[in-house]
Amino acid sequence: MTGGLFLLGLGGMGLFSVSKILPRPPRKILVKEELKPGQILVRDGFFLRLTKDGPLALFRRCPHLGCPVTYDPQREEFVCPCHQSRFSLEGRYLAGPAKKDLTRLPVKKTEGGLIVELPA
Amino acid sequence: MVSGVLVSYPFHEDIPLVSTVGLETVIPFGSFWRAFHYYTGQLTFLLLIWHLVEALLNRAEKRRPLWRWAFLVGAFPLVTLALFTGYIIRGDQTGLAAGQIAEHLALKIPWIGILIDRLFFAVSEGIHRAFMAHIYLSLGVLAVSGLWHFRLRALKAEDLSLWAVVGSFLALVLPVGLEAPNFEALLKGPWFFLGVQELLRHLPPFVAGVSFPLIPVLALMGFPLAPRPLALILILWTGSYLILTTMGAVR
Repeated sequence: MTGGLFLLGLGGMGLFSVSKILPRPPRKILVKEELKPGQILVRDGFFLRLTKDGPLALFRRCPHLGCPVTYDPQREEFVCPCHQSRFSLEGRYLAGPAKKDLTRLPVKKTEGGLIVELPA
Repeated sequence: MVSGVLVSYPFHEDIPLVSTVGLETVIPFGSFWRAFHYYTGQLTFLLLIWHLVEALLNRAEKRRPLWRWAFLVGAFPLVTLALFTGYIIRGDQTGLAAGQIAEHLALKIPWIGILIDRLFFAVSEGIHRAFMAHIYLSLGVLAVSGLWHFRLRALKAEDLSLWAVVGSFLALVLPVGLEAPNFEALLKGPWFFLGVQELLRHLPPFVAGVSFPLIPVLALMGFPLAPRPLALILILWTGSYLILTTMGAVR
C-alpha cells in the first residue's frame, strides 16, 4: 500500500516535471490600437509597426542572450541594453554580438485588430 | 536572513516590480529593510571571499579531507547564485535582463542545462523559480555550510552586530535603485557580474558565461590536489576578471 502510494506520488511528480519541461504553446496577443505610419508600438514581448508591405511584428528578445530589446528614438534603431547589439527598424542585425536578425512574428489581421503570435 | 524574512512578507512573486515599489513606498521602513537586506547580502558575499582568501593563505585545505574542502568551497557558488537570484526577483529592467541572460546561459549547458534552468530561473514564465531558489539557496547556505561550519569557527555576536551596523549605515546613506522596464539603452548588471557581461560581448555565450565563471570554482575545489598551479590560475583569473569588470563599469 505504502509502496503503491509512493510510486503514484513519484509518477505524479514525474508527469508534473515533464509537463513543465515540454515547450508551451505559442501565445496570441490582440492589438486593438490603430497604428499610424511611422509609429512604433512597444509591447512586453514585441515591437509592432506599419511598413509598405503591411504590419511588421518583431520579437523583443535579443537573439544573443534573450535580453528585452529597447527602441532608441535618437538613432531610430532597436538596441539590446545588455550587450549593445543593434538592429534596424526592419529587425536586421547591424552590430554587436547577436549576429542574427530579430525574429519576425506572424501577424494576422482580424476585425477586432491585429493578432501577434509570440513563440513559446 | 532576518531581513529576508521581513521583506518577503509584502513581496508577491506574481507582481515583483509592483510589490518591490510597494515595499519601498507604502510599508513603514520598507525602504530601509530592502536596502538593509541588499547591503547585508553584498557584505555576506564579500566576507565569504575574505574568509576564502584567509583560508587559502592559512593553508586550511591541508587540515581537512578533499571532499569536505570541496563541500565548503561549494558555499561560494551557492552564495553567488543566491545574490544573483536576488537581482532577478526585483523584476525591474536589470532584473528581467539578468534573468533572461541566466536562463539562456543555463540552457547552453549540455545535459543538465534544462534542469538547472527549471530549478533556478525559467524566467520566461515569471520569477517564481528564482524567488524559491533565492529562499532555498539562502537557507541551504545557512543550514549546510553555516550551522555545520560554525561549530568549527564560532560566529561571535559582536561580529554579527558590527556588520549589522555597517549594513544599517549603508542602507541609510545609499538608497538601492530600481529601473523602470523598457527605457534604458545601456544596462549594467550586478557589480560582480560586470566581468562576465563584458566578456559576453566578445566571446561565445558558453565560453564567457559558463566555462569562464566555472574556472575559479573548480580551481578552488581541487586546490588541495595541486596548490601551486591552481593558486597561479586563481591569481590570473582574478586579475583578468578585475580588468573585465573595470571595462564593463566604465562603459
